[in-house]
Amino acid sequence: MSIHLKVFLLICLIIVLVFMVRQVSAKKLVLQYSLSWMFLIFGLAVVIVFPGILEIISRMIGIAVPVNTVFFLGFLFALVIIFNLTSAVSRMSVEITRLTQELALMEKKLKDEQSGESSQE
Amino acid sequence: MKKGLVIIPAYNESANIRNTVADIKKNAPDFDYVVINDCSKDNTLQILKDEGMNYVSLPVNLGIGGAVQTGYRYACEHGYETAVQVDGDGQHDVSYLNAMYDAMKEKEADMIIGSRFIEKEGFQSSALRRVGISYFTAMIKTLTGVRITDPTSGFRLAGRSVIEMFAKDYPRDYPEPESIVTVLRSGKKVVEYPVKMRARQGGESSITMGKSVYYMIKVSIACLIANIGHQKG
Repeated sequence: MSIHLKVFLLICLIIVLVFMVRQVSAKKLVLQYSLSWMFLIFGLAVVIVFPGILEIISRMIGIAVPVNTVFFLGFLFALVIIFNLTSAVSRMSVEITRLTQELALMEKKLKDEQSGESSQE
Repeated sequence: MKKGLVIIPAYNESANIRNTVADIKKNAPDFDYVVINDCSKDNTLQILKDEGMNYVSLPVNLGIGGAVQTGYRYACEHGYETAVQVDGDGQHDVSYLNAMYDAMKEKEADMIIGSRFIEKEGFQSSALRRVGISYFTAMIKTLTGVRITDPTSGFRLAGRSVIEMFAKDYPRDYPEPESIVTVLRSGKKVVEYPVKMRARQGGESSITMGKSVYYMIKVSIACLIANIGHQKG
């Protein structure tokens, strides 16, 4: 992997990292979900900076050109991020259903209590 | 006028909750209390209803951060001067509350943390946890210059300005160390008070091994980011 490519990729990673940290700091992003992004950035940075690791992984998987391994790993980590989001969205949809029902039932209870008072049976 | 509100986050604490509330009524009569039922799966809620306790029941499980924040919001809305977190598992001894309240006023602090490790008496937690705790003590000292001996202690009394801060923003999980950094970074004063804690009286702790690793990483990053935060204003 040429030095040009290494430097370019590292700069991209640093820009993304700084952006994520600023978003979390400004409370626009919750840390929990940005952790998998940081994992991706850190993982790729390690693999780019230490070519030895890249060679080992390339050989293990059977990839001829190490640069392809970087992209492959990037893709893999991106899938991890997407999976985390899928799982979070699933959980939240269940929670929203629950909250909606709770709210509706509470409104009904309130209405019944109010009409119970005004009719004074 | 009561000195403050005791916030009792409770998740599956049917074994302990009666004792915890009775303890507060007996040993901390100057404080009101509210139990925050974090969508418990056992009969905690039934106990709260049957015994006529003061409680708020969350329709969805939020975790310790979300539950305690609910307590801070309650404290904010009801105009309490101070709020203290007391865990539903019986580890915190409320007879310290008056002393902690006085110490906080005397030192003009915004928050006072009950620390197990100043006099090192009472329940000291497992060796592994203590290593983790000293790691966070070192991190907080490096970032803010303040030495907090028990950064993971949930037994903390907060003054009005911190209550308002937490009501607006509080970390969802493992909130204790990160929130200390946030409070210190906003220029407020945090002090500690030596306390003895008891071992958990019943039920199970919610922190496992895998969660511990996630905890260390997540809280470290959170503390670092919290530290940057307020420099930008």
